Amino acid sequence: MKSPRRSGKQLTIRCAPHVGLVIVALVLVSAVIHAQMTAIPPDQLLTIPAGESKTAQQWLSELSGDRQALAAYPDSAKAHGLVGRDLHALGETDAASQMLDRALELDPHLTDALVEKGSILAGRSEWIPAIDLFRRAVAISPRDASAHLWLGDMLLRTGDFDGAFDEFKVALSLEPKSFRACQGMGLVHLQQGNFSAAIDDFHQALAIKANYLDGERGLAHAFASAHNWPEVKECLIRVLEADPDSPSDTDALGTALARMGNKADAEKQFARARELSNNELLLLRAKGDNNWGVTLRRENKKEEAAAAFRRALEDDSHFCEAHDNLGGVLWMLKDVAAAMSEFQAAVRCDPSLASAHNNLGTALLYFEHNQDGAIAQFHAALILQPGFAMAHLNLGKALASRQDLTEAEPEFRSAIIIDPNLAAAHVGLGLLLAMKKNDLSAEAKEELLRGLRLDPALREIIPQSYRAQLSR
Amino acid sequence: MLGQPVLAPGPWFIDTAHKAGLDAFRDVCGNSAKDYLVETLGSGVALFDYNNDGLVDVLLVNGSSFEALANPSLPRTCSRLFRNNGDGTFIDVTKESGLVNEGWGVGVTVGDYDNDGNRDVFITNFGSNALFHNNGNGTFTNVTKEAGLEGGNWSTGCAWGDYDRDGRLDLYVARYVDFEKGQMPTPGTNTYCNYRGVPVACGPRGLPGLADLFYHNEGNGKFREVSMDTGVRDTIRGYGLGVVWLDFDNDGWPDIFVANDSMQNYLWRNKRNGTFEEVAMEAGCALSGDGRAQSNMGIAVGDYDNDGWLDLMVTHFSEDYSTLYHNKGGQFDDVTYQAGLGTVSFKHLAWGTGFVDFDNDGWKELFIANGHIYPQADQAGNSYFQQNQLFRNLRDGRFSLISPEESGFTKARSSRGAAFGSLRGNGRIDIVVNNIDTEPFLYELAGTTSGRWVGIRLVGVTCNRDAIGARVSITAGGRTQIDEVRSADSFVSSSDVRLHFGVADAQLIEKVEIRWPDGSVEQHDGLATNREYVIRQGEKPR
Repeated sequence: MKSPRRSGKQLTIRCAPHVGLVIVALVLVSAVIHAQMTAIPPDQLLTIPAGESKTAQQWLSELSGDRQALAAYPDSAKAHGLVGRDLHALGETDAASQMLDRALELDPHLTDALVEKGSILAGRSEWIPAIDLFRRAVAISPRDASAHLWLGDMLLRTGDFDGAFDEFKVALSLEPKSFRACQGMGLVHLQQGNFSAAIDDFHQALAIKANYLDGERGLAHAFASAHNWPEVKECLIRVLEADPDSPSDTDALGTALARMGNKADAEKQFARARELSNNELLLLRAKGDNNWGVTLRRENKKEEAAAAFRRALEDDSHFCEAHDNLGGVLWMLKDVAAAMSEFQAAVRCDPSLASAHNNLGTALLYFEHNQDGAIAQFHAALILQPGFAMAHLNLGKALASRQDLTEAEPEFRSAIIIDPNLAAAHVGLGLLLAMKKNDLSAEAKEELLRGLRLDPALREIIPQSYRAQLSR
Repeated sequence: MLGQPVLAPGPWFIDTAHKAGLDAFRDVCGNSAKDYLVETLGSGVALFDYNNDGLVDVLLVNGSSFEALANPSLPRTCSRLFRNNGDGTFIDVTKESGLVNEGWGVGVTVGDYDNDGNRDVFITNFGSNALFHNNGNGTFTNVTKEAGLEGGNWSTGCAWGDYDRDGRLDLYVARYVDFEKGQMPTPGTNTYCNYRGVPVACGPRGLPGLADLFYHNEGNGKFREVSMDTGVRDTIRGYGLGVVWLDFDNDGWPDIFVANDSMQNYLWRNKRNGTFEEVAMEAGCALSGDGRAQSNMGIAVGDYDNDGWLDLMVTHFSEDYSTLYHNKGGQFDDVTYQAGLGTVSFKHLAWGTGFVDFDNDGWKELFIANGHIYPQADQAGNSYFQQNQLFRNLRDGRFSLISPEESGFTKARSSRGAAFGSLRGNGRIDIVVNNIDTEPFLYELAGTTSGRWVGIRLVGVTCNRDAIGARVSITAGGRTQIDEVRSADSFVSSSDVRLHFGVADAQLIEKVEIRWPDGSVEQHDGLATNREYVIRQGEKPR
């Protein structure tokens, strides 16, 4: 039960679905994982060991199969664990976490579930409970390299450098091609001031995985500590080719150039680093205002929330989530035209913002009755985030409204596979099945009933004739 | 050669706060849950001779609470001034002295801004700041408004210094977060409000910052805010905490280093024409060695390797190291790992700090006050209460941690500001530490040392009276050491202005060179050790 590398998707807070109407998603910024600075930046997390490489669509398919297995074997720890794994891979960490908890209740020795759950906790910076799970995992499965690697990473973050080193060493012995284990050992050596050993470790990591940016960064830091400035420069030039807007690497390159006597180029790098650092600070403030807006929105203070989102955009006009969230709250304030404009701005600002595509699609569908435009937006959202249950549901609705019933059906089903508690998806599927056969089949009835059990208010959108049949 | 401690075995320090009567002070800083950042920051300490009796007195800055700010009828917490009785004990003279700061106190800097021979006190607050003029008769008058130094919102570190050599002390005031309680997210509400998954006070990341303030002393008891005129433009409104003045490039003009939380530091280089330029990145002390913005808080200034350039120690958050910047020719290098300070500072959240030669061997030790900001740290695998740390100077650029049993720092608290001075006037440097929500530490140097020392108190004539900003260089036993007179350093604290040099077994100071803040230089030689000298500008030491 291995997981792919996580993409660090946005945590999406959804407004309560309203009958047959729009579902607007508010995005809470992903920001940084930690409240405070850590020695090893979040983007240098050793992260989840690369396992099977699957597309999101494949994970969705896995989830479908594993949910069926779970339905067949509701007391199976492994089935819970697999669904948890699939959900985690699709970015649904809360649901994944619940599944994994259940798996571990049923079988506390299920190593894969321990590691999977530990990795979720690690992603939330809950290092101490994560350490507990990884320790249990390595005790049960001492040859699980992934568990050792994770444990090493957590120990490194909590300052147990010797313990971390031991774990990385074991991981490397079990998986000699683990560049992350080499990286971890390098980081420990660096902290301990053993620069030559750190340089060897980072070189080894890069020999296993060429162009590994964190390896290059580690190497640059180790060379800088050893005052080998030409090597620092070479490493950082490679890093900045791949990540040109990194303020820390730009500053470090400036330092290397200055120490090499190249004052003019150093000054250019420092000026650039200063600009990037300032931008980063403004972005953090924008995220702060955006978060405050989300809090106010939750408290139903819509006007104040809108003001907070606007402040976020004043802080940093490139902070696209604020456009999306401002659109969401304007929609709630029934200023639909302004909302639409913000959703469009969000999509223009960041075409990779799945939530904005979903929201824009929703607005197009219900405000402009532009089914084709809406469908295009939902598709865009799902290409970006295939595990986005709400976008599947909305796409299903849009397709159904265009009478594309055959295409709509799998979308409702995908929404349910991802989130079985999505009442509107059950009701939507039930209605669609009924439309297809022009009758309330047993399956359609079952879906409608499931939906109503989850949200009785949805009864309002079910035609009277079906309602009567449901009550029989 | 590895350094051997001159101090005899046994704890270096003993906490004598109770015996001295300083435990009559109890810091108050909001409620115990610390739901808001204001409640976590704590306060500073000042060690200075307020009544010119030759003894170092103690001012402990106090915080407050939202309840007290909102309800004037509730009892006031206030900063407390303790007069040194000269016998190891202190007496609270706050009321009779009139040095009553009832605001939510944070930082303190001591300086004789009107050159009348009496040290004045500036206290930063969450709220209006406060300038207390020393009347010279044991009392103070609050002259904030007349001076134009109210500031506003949340000020933190502050320091006096004379940037334009006009003989009058100017003032730098760092500010932190533009804090409006009703506009602040509460613990756990977003990613900036969690520590290791546990809900905690939010910020400073994601919160609006405040521009620092820079005041020129106009000489008539009034100050003028000159940040724009002088180029000290904190346009991005950084999260300022610690402030020190130091001449980092040895050009004879005082520069200003500001520790900014969660972002790059500022180093304002004095351009010698009344203006400054910000050069922290160019000078290598803006960020860590690998370019990371750290949670910069306290600052120690000192030439720990005796190479003639002032180095910096900047204290930081836990899960990160406190950074040692070695100064070589005005360029700083992050040498934390090389100095052996990486792993030992990683778990601690560090604040007050200082380079002080406690054992008088001619090499400065490093002190760091620790304590987490989140009481919830205990649930998250770290500790709210942490032991303070003393590091021995190994004389080869490295430091080694002295065990708590040996240093005497066995009691864990959540420490904040720390200041240094010889409370008994005996050449032994003591430490006073302000601990959040509880009584302070008075670490009295207890170990016996065979090392000899010299104390130097400067009196300016054509420069500011306490010669703040003066550079003193002494040569003894073939070794030259430097230091400067500072009005503030560590974390939001102010140490005694008397300079202290340990000289190992040297009987004589071969040479003392003083570069006064007005640029004049004078030399003295043949000074006997193990005593304190008062050197009045242009006169012989006495």
